[in-house]
Amino acid sequence: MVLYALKRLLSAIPTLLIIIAVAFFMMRLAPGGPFTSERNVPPAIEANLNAKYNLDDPLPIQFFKYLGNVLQGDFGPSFVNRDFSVTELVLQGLPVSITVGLSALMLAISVGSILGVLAALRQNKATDYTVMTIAMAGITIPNFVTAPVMTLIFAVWNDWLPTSGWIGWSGIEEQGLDAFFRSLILPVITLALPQIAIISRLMRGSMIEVLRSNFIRTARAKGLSPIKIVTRHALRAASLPLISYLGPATAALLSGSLVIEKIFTLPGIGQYFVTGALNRDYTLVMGVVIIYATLIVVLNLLADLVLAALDPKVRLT
Amino acid sequence: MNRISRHADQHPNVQSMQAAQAVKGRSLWDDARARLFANKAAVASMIILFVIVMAAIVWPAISPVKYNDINYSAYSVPPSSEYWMGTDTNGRDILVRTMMGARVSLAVGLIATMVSLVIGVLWGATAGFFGGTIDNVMMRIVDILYSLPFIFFVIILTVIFGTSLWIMFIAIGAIEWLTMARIVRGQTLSLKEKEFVEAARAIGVTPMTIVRRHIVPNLIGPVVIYVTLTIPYAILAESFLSFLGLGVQEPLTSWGVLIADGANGVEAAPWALLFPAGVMALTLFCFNFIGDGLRDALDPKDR
Repeated sequence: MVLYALKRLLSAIPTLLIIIAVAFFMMRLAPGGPFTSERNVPPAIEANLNAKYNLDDPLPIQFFKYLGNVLQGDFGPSFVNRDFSVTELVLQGLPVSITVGLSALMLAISVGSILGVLAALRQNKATDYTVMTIAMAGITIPNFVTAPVMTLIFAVWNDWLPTSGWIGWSGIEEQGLDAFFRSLILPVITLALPQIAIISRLMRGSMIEVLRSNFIRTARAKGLSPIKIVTRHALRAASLPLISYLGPATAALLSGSLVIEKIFTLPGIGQYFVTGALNRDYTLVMGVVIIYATLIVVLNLLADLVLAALDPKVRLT
Repeated sequence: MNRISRHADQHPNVQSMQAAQAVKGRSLWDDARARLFANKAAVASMIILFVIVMAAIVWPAISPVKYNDINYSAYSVPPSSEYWMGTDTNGRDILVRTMMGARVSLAVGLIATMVSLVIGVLWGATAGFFGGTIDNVMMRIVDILYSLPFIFFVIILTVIFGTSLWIMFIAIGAIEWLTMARIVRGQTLSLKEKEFVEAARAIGVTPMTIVRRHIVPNLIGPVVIYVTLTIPYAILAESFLSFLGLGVQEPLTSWGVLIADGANGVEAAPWALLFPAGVMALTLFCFNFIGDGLRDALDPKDR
């Protein structure tokens, strides 16, 4: 197990390095410097700017300087928001994105697995078809459609929920816990919807397979109640594919958060990333990509380790 | 041979019977087509998709108003006999804009899918056919790329090169080829052990010719299925970028741009959101149903 963990860890590091290198060289080899979109800067000032941002060094030196800084958590100054460093901007956005993202992930896992198990237990019956049809819709319709449509229904036509805005942890005292949760409902649900759909499909498939296996037949034969069979025996085995989906789910939630944070004007990392991309804020975009990639690689790694701990077969291959 | 002809001599009917059987005999493709057309969801999807595609081609050309015409006396008009899908908050006709958006979104979807098809088939077939170290290295690259949040790299590309349709074709195609490469590799691995490939190798056919003449034609089934399922993803990727403002730019339009516009003006003109979103969702559903239908029709395991 330790050996396997080490092996996986060692393969995760080059992946991360490749990501950082690709992001870095893509940015630096871009036609036109980062300052070309600005007003005509006098040559002297441009030289100063270049010196400040290390743009005068040869590329490999720039890369290693950047890498060293990134390892210390310093993503450099933002190119557009001159008063802020990228790290500061990211730290501002992080609590928002984590709150929304984690809630959506938990919602997706819980609701998705319940729906999937229900569909598997009632295979080829009305429940199954209903769940699978909804799942198909959830997978096909992207959240930049569901989010505005749900805002239209629940916030514009009916005044049940706020259309947008962020109360945040610091706003709880001022505006109350109630307002805090209400402001979260629409973003979290719309972010979770596609994942609920995918997880319920995944869960249904693996549950059907597990229910056919021998140890379930044994459990049934010794007279366990159907509920106990599912909760005590089948669920554990059936959730294994769910764990390996954790990495892709994170990636999907991150790209979904770009849309959700834009629609509901949440001041998360996704917002900074998109405005950074629109303003060609090179360092900011790069910093966020590296953070996203790290998050995904780490979660993939964690999922693999958990899977290996639960399922000895994985370790041996 | 001799025996057969003697046999045929004795029974004059045999030859004509054989001919009749040859006519009746069903090829894999006839079989698949029959099953595809028996699938109601797939047939309905094909019809709907055909209507949408035709409307996208024809309507922007024959419509009395153009997609960027502004009617200053018709802001946010609900659907009516004059504007079937209403107008947006800028007084532009939603119907013709949706169809124009369909042109762009479908074109991006198709071309990006073709890009992914070329890369994926070449990559997968080469890896699968040569095997060994080449296969290991090539598929390891695919594994690493798989774990990357590729849409973010597309965003980096748009930051670097600015937003243009060409970047979208290439960038989206470049992110969608990974699964294609995996599918093709798996198929190639099993195909190359088949007897007809061994026979070709035995008579001295070069590896590249074997790939071209024997492997690739046999890959068509799974590739066709996966292409149909990739198109909606490519359309989604385009709309995602355009929605964020990083894709197709005004005055040109696409479904993503229209949905972003509609979402912005949703309180004044909900139809400007609902119609483009509805047409896009319908199109995506159609592609998925056709893909599922093709899978059922072409998958030999089901027979």
